[in-house]
Amino acid sequence: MEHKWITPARIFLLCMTAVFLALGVVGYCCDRQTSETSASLIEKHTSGVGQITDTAASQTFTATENNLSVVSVMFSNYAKKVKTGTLTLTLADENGAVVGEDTQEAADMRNNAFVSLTLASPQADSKGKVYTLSITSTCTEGKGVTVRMGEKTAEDAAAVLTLPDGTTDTANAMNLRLTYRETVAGRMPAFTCLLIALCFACALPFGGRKESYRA
Amino acid sequence: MRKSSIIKWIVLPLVMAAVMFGVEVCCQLPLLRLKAEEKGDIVLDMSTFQHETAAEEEEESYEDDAEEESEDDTAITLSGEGDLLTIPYTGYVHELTLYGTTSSGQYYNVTCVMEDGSTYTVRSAYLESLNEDSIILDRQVIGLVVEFSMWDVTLTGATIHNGFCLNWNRMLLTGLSAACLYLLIVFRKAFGKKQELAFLTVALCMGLFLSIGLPTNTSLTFDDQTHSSRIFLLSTWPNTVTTGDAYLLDSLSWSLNVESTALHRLDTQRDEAALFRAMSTKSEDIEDVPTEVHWSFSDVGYLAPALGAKLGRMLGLPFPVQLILARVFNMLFYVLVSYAAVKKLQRFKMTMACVALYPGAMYQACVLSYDSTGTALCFLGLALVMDAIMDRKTRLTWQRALGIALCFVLGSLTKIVYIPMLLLTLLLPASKFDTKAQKVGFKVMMVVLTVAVVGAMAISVAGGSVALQDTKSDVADTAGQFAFIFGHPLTYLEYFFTTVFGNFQFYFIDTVRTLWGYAGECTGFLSWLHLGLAAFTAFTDNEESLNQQLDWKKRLAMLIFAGMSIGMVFTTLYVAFSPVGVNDFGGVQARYFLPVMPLLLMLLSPEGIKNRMNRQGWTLAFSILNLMVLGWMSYTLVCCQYFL
Repeated sequence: MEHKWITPARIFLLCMTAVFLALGVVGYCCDRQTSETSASLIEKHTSGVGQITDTAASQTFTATENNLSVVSVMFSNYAKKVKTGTLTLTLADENGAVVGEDTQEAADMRNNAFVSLTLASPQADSKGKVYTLSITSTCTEGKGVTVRMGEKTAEDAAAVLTLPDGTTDTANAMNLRLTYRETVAGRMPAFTCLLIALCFACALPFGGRKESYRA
Repeated sequence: MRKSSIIKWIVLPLVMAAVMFGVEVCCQLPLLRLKAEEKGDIVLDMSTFQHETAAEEEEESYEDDAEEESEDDTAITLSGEGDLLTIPYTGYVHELTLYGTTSSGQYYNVTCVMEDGSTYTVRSAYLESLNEDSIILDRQVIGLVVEFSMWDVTLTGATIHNGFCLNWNRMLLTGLSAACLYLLIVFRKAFGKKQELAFLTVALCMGLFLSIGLPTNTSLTFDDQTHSSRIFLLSTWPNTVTTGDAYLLDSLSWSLNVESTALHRLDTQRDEAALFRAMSTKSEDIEDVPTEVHWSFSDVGYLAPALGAKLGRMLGLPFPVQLILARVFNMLFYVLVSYAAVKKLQRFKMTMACVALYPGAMYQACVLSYDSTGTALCFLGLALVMDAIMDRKTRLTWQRALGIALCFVLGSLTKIVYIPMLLLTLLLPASKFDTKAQKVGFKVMMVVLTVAVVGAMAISVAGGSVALQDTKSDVADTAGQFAFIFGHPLTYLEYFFTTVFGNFQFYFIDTVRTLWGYAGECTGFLSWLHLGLAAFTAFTDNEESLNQQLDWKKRLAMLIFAGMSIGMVFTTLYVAFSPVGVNDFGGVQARYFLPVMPLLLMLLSPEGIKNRMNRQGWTLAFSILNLMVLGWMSYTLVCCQYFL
């Protein structure tokens, strides 16, 4: 019995190795988590870009990470909360193709809160690419609506702000918040189970002995 | 069980009860001797209080305005820094409770004026979220002067408590200490034969006191807010939520930092009771927030306390009891795994017991932290591998091979820095294996396993699953620091060795043994006594009959592997915490070296020095001295600081 390779101990060790390997695969597939990072072009906003109408105000920027998922801009309604009209955010890639568009009621927006354009599918290889966010509005109530801007602090040579009157500005930028979301598989549960499985595998060569004995 | 043993166990609770109540009566003798009119709770008449403002003329109008806004006519508003409130009371004051509202972050001083004109001042953090705070004075006074640290204080009442009230915390300590001493004495013969049982007795008694008797809040040790949040989150698995209780614990129990000293919120039994009440009422208004949980390597260290918290919740116990159960389970895991480590060793049994009973290690096990799990697993791994290295008579079994690998791998998942100790398996002699191929194969597998653990951690860091940079450091730059180390390796090594040798005593001799987080540290005679005990134990832990010796080559290899772990501790913190290129290893704490300590003591233990003391007597002396150190620290740093 002692010289046989298959012993109860080895069967146990093999089973445990297999169980933990299987658990590792399950953990890898099931314990998916979303990691999120964000970036902005300015540190502090100082003014608005001017009343936004059907003539778009736009901001170009370079994505610093892959998986660009959400582009947000800080909204402002001048002095008084508006009740009519809409605000439309459109994001286009460097070829001019629209990758996301959303229209929201201006009445639902709070002053100095971010308005978000969530992309239907994250831009997987966005890192280093230049995008343009265009904003138009149908709100004509009072002074209408605007978005916040400030001195550009991010090192982005491609960042150009185009105001509603058509002038361009490279020293300032919109108060944008760019969110990069990545869903990653459960590496840590997989690694944990894999390492435990390895421990069981390491003990396999000694499974042929019934017990420790004195030589 | 023999009749004499049964009698010994029957006598145990009687001894405990006698000591608990005897000590309590002795300690509260001043209260029992008070005149009838001075006993009990005395509500003070606030109209007799005298309010002195620091800048009467300038602040007069503001103060009047503030008083007008007060809803209660008798309430007193202190509106300027330096305002003093004199309470004209003559008699004995055991405990004073102030009621009222303040802004956050307040502390106050109460100065007792004695008959002979001398004064005695005590400081306490005000529980502003509970609108009351108590402070122990225990003085015969002719007046009290109260001074708050800032303004915006509205006092609505004050009460003196002079009633006899059993101090359950002190009773727990005296009862468990008496039980431990009693067991050590009556079972000294058995403990002399099985020294691990003596360790278990001391560790369980003192561990139970610390895990139950410490205040039921956080801010007791480093990062315990983070640990408690994670533990209570894991305890709600599978439908993980952040409970209102866990949220409140985090928000209510932080300490004040006054003149570089932590001022604890809960410094009396009455404060703790107030927190109990506040948490039970406030938590009902806070909804549980569903919180996503993903498995993390360090969760290995949270499983035992999370299980304790879950058990408490399943039994419907109040939140403070859940917290205590979490600590008890954490302690039990540490003590039982350390017991296995002591039991497995033939030589260095007492060295391992000594390190496992280090007050610093015991404290870590009795608060909410994952450190103790990693430490205990490393202790067991060390015991299994060192015993196998020294014992040439037996072959390596699959249980031991598995145990060594699992202990070091799981222990290192809490802190990767301990994985080099797995390489101690390279020192296993050929006699442990059947064939040379088996020996080589096993050792290669151990190296592969070590690399796999490091690789798994590296991939997780690179993938963003594990953050290497410490969130508490806003000056660290991980990438920059790595670039500095690889660009200037000799400069870095100079920094490293200068720091290690320059602070050797701090890291490896003093703080590692006796620091109890924010509760304080044991210094002076008791610390020296403990150091002497540890040194004596390590230097004399040698029994010729076992024939278990370590030659210089093995000691050198042990030093290298221990050095690798120590180096990884410093390097990790250098990368995670310190500004790029500085000659300073911020964030390195002595507790990180606890898992390595048995190895360091073993390699320093000489072969020639032997302990010829009677084994039974030595075990008894060793255990009683450890009990004395732990008991006295518990009394001064827990009972006196939080509960008297």
